[in-house]
Amino acid sequence: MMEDMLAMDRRGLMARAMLLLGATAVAGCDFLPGSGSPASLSADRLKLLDAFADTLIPVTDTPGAVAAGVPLKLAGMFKDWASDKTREELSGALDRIDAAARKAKGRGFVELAPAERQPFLAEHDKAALVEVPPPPGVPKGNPFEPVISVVDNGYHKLKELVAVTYYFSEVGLTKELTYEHVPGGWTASVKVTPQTRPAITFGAF
Amino acid sequence: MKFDAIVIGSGMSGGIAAKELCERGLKVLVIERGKMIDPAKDYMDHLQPWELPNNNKVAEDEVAEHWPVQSTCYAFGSATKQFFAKDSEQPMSTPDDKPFAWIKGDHLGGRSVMWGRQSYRLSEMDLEANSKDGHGVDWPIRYADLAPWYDHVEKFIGVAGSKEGLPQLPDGEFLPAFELNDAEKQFKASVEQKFPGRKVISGRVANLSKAQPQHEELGRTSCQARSICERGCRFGAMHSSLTSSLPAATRTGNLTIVTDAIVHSLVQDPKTGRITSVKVIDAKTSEGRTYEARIFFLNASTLGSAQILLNSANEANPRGLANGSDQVGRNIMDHLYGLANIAMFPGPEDSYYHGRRPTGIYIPRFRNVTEDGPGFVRGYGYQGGISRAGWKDLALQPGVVGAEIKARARTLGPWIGVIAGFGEVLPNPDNRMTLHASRKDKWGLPIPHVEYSIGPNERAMVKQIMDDGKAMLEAAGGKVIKQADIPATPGLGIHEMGTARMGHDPKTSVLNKWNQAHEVANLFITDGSAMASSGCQNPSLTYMALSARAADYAVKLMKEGAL
Repeated sequence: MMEDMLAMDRRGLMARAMLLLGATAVAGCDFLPGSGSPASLSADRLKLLDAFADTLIPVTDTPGAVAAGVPLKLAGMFKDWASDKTREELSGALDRIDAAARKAKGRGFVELAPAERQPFLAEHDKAALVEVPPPPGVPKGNPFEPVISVVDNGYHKLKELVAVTYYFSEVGLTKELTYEHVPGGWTASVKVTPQTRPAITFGAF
Repeated sequence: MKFDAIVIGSGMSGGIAAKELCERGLKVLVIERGKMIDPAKDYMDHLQPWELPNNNKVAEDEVAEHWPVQSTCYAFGSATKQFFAKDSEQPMSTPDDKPFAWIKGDHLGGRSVMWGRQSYRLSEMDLEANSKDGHGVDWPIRYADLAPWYDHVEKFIGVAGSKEGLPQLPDGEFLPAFELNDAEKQFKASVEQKFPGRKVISGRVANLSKAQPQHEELGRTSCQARSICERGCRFGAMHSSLTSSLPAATRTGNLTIVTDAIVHSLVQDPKTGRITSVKVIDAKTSEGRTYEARIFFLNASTLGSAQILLNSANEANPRGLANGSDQVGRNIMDHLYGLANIAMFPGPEDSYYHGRRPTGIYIPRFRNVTEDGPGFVRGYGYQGGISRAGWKDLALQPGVVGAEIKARARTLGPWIGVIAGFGEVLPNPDNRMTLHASRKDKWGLPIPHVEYSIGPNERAMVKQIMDDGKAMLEAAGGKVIKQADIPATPGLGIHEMGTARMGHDPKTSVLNKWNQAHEVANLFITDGSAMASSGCQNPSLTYMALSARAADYAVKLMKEGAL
């Protein structure tokens, strides 16, 4: 009984999320149409990626994702790192942002004024990242290797890649967070001040 | 070419064996199947994060084609992939329902270049365990046999740690410990107060917290707290064969190294029973050649060494060399791994730390030491740490976009505690490596086939590891938010051991108390193969101590004319 209710609730969430995203966009996407170089992002999608990255991590008192070179780096990773499956997921996620903008605003995401993009993307983001039960047969995963199952898995990947690439960039690591390649030694206790910024960690510890 | 000694394998144990033999005046050849590594050119530890290809990820298609197993190792990335053997070139087989991950190096120095560096001694209770509870065969040595060699190795490699006076985790020749941070100190105080007998200590680690003259002589310097050790360390601040043991062997003038040389088999003289030479296949040209010596140290890793022994079968030894006991390849043990509790921890909000410490905290074994082990023998220790959450946890929440992401990422996150158990696995002869009956690799060598599964003792331990970890975090005020309660794929502990165990009796063991093959007088095996039980401690330090001890003994035998 309880499980049924939960399942219904999930279906309800799913339906709402599908509406927000634009049902056609979720149902299918044309990937890399007519591109002579199937491994490269098309010019239209590059513009979408620019607009998305700029909206997700904008210029504030520090440079944003575009100035940090995130779309450029991701375009390279799209070609050099991503598998076909990942390319489809990422392209699809970009297309779904655009389709949802057309549906909600009557214009593509790129054509929206920067001030319109942010509230639209916040809604889209929220809907795309609603957790859903994983398809049957998908392994359980664990906290170290979680299995992602949200309404738009491609969007989850896209958002994470943009953010990780930003906080891996020189701008992100030195202007937003702190990074020293050679800290010189370990100090176990440092008083936090208003100027303290998180440092990134590597590896297990 | 003729040498006094041949050491097969240049990793953790082979490096130390070569050093000790060279320092005693022997002309030594080290045979490595992988490629030559030049730290000056091949280490990628100088690259800043933004200079790493693809955010340190390896192309997905390349992973699928060449590294499906190796990529499951935490240390695998675009900055380290050159240190891992390609699964596509060095395949192994397992039953479909019993996966086993063999994480392999493919270069000079082997896994000592990207190891986790945790360094703990076995104790008397570990070496007595088989005898007391009847699992496996009795170790033919006790702690007193190993203690001076632990001292010797620790001084040479440099191990940071604190003296604790614990019978289950003997103290050693330590460099200053890496200090716990304020949240960890708070955790330590709570655990030690609420669970008498349990201790929370700094992880003992082969990083030079303070380089000593014997380290500086080899060009090594103190740890810079970068914690990118698995890329290889240009500062020489962590022990690896490339920074310590092989340079020490080289400076004697007695060392020769050959790389890209895959050992096919050991050749035995049917009259004397001794090994006369090693047959090698050139990894690049597939041509065969032979090297001769008086004594042989097999340090090709637990599975690699067993593979060589099994492939060295001859007319008198159809089951494989030194294998009258039929124990070669059996009794594989890999610590229970990947069992973790993750908790929000109420650490001091106004406190942070500086630098990236290359170790964490350690909770030495307490089950079947100061507290009973319900339903199981032996025990487990925990590794982990408490640190402030990184930018991602706070910033990447659904519905959060724009400037809010940046504002959140700038905020120092809450303290997050992670403690993960490492559990002892009992020797079981059915956990076994054999040579595949038909499949061969590109050099024509039969590929290894591994069958491995955990038993009831380990399963009982898994539950208790989870419960105890949770209880300690909660007792210290933590709130457990995630649990990893299924053991990782066997092999991913990267502590596989036991395939040529030491023992008193040639009928039930492969090696005697000096790591000398019962049946082959001039063959010594001092890698993880030799282990008669697994303890729950990270084992590399023990392999190194056994290597130094056996090398000393072998040279004495040679000088006495016995070898």
